[in-house]
Amino acid sequence: MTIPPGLSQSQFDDALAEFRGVVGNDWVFTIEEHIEMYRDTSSPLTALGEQAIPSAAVAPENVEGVQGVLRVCNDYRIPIWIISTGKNYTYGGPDAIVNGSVILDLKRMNRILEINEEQAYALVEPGVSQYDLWIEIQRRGMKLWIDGPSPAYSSIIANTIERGVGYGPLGERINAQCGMEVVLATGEVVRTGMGAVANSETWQQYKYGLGPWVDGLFSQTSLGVVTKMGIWLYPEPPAFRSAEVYVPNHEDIVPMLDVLRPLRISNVIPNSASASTNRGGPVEGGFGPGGGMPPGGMAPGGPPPGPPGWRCRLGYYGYERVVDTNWEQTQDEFASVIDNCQFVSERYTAPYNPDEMLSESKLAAGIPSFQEIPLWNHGNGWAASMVVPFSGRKYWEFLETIDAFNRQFGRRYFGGPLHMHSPHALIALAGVPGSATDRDFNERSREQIVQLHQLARENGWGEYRAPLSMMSEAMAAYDWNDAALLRFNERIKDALDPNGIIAPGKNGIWPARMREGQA
Amino acid sequence: MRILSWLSGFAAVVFVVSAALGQDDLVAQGREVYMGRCEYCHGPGPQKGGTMTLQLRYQGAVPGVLAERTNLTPEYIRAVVRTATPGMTPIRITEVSEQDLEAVIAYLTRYNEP
Ligand SMILES: Cc1cc2nc3c(=O)[nH]c(=O)nc-3n(C[C@H](O)[C@H](O)[C@H](O)COP(=O)(O)OP(=O)(O)OC[C@H]3O[C@@H](n4cnc5c(N)ncnc54)[C@H](O)[C@@H]3O)c2cc1C
Ligand code: HEC
Repeated sequence: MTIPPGLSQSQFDDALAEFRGVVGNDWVFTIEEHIEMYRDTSSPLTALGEQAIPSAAVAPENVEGVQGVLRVCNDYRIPIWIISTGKNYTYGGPDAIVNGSVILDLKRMNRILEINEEQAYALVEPGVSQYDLWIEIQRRGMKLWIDGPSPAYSSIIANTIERGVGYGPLGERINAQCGMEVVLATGEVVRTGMGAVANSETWQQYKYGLGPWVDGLFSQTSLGVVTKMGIWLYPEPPAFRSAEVYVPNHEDIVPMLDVLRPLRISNVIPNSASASTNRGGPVEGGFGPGGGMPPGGMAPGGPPPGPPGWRCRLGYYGYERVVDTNWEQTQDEFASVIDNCQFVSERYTAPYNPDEMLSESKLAAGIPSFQEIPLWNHGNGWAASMVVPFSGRKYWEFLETIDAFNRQFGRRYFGGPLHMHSPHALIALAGVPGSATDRDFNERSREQIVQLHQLARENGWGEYRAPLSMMSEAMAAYDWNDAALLRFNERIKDALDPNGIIAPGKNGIWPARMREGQA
Repeated sequence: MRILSWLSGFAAVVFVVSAALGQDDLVAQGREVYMGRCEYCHGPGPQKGGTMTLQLRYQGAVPGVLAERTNLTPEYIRAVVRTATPGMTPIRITEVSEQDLEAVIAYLTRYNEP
């Protein structure tokens, strides 16, 4: 049995007894069979023998339970790692960074506190999944759409505060967040925005309140536990058009992005558009849906067989004439600069029948999808999702730079997938394959991904969200003025979490007591 | 609303079939849990990852839809749900409680030969 760092077995036994006092015997998990369920099945660290093993998982049912768990953690200085639904696969699953952490599992806090059709928002607890909210909206017959990532069993709160990606008009998930309730590391409960006005009726309508806008501190956070969050919803549009544009040549990505940029920024294309190579993934054999990463390496030879070129996925929402006009205009823009584009599109009108929609269309309509989950094949690899200028030329330089770098490792890079949820930037992914069992293979791949991070830093590409095993490396790119931002974050961390109990090491931010010896 | 009729249409079919077999409360509860936590991957129709994978694996030898199977044992279902398999990450006790899992097992084994 793993125990938290710095504790004796008997101290830990005492802490467990206190946890049981807070949440009840049934909701403190310590036996191996249970602990195994709290381990990332796709971690590249498993084969390296470096995956952190939790000492226990504790699952409170309400805010008082969260406060009680934090009190025990403070008393014993036990590091905890928060999960809402714990499906953060490819970014670390339910894993903690520090060996022996206690997992704070919030799945039992799964109440949908409000769905307001008129004002188009919901107020949810952390355990509420995309699917839970979607099905409840259908059950109540409300004319509202949700938005979200493709794994529909994941948490609305966790995915949003991790600044995840959806595919509809509210695809930049953090922008749809409105009002939070947070239990701070020290146990006080804070409501943000208008929630701080005791009698307010606008907690989920207006985000900012008065004074510094603190909600951002609780995104990608190790400062508190988000226990309630408002999420804006989208009124069911009268018409919805889902569309794809195919361009035939690899080089066509350059004009493709330059056509997309103004359309995205001006909201002619209102959805969180995405693009990928026609071959499906960023590397031969696929990196994501459509194929796992071959343990033998990525694309040892030249480009794989199959059509070259790229495709992007677009969505239009609103009155029928508007969605048609905007789609026609998009086609004209493409056709005027790229030869032999192909356009594929489907228009749907209310009332919508998910069963008759293509799965690509479903995602852009916020209908939970599970199609790609099993195709993922749990790659055990590494990925870096970098923020790159929204420019064809800049992205081409990115492709060439990564490809030249990968060649040193006998691998190739072909590009994609690209996310355009944040309309002024590209999120571009580069991956390195991993193995579930082969230690040497993962040692080599780790060398590659660590060097790739240095390369990214030299080129000014920071990550939008870091996988667990590369969080410090990812934060190292944020180095302006001798890493002033990191030091600022550390000061906030020390002030708000004096015992350094919440998610130590998350995004490279360590509490004071663990900083010594850290780079 | 068409989504609603689509959902309740499916529910009605399943309900009629199982009602005809005289299901007990546990099976009914199991169906509830299954609809909320398993159906989106294992249900009938296109784009269901679990069904797609199982259809490929069994090539028609047994139904691709889990709820139509007659050869799943309680031990096997429990093991698949609680441990990692190539296509399914573990479903934890906080997501499907022990009691709910018993109910799902009762539901998925309701057509098994005694
Ligand atoms: C096939 C596949 C496709 C994917 N597609 C997408 C996609 O389209 N878009 C996308 O964004 N992601 C995607 N992902 C990544 C990931 O699965 C999702 O982002 C998922 O939402 C994260 O899981 P979760 O919601 O269960 O978060 P959790 O695992 O519950 O939490 C994630 C992290 O958030 C923090 N956290 C969680 N809850 C709280 C809280 N209450 N308070 C404070 N901090 C908290 C913790 O640090 C935790 O580690 C994909 C993954 C796979 C395998
Ligand atoms: C995220 C999608 C997903 C969810 C949710 C899911 N499954 Fe699965 N399940 C799969 C996939 C994919 C397979 C086939 C591949 C494999 O066995 O790993 C599978 C296989 C199975 C099998 C094995 C069937 C066989 O013949 O080997 C059982 C039993 C099973 N699931 C039960 C369940 C139950 C019960 C639930 C709900 C509590 C559930 N699953 C939820 C995706 C899912």
